[in-house]
Amino acid sequence: MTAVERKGIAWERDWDAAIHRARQDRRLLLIDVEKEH
Amino acid sequence: MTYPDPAVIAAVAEAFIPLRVDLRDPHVRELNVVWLPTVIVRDHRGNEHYRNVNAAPPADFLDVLALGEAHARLKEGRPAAHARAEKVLADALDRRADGPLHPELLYWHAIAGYFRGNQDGEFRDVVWGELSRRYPDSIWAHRVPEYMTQVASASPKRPGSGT
Repeated sequence: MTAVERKGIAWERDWDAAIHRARQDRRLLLIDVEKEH
Repeated sequence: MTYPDPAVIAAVAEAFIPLRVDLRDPHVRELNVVWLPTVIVRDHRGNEHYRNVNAAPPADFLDVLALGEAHARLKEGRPAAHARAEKVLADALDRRADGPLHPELLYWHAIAGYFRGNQDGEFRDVVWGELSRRYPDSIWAHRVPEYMTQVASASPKRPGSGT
């Protein structure tokens, strides 16, 4: 297992924080909408 | 599963801030989601560039990421952004020879090349020709302007692929 696999995707859970990071880092948002149980 | 795939993880890390929200999150209302799961590519201003409904296997999801980034770059209107869009799509097309999103990738790769200045007949014949020849029944082939469908039958190298 590589380091990438161990780390996985670091999902942001805070909407405003994600938008702030996207603006700051000039990146796109990848928004995954799911129904959590 | 899609997200544990190393290639997907790397592609997300390269170009995106991944945000996971629950359907009950009040922000979700503005996303107009009608089916789950839904993945949306947006910018920080709230402009949506692409969305994918339902789960996709890793190879298809990589194509979704490429299309999402390419759509965003194409709207930036800068030559460097158009070049980035063309490269992202060319890389996706080179990654595998076929797939359910292949016609769509070909279509937008052609658009990206056109935006970047490849408006000559040779480029047109290569990119539109591949789409029309390989996927004649695809909705993407039908979306090619009619005057651009008179293409060569050869299968030359795809521009922008670097191969």
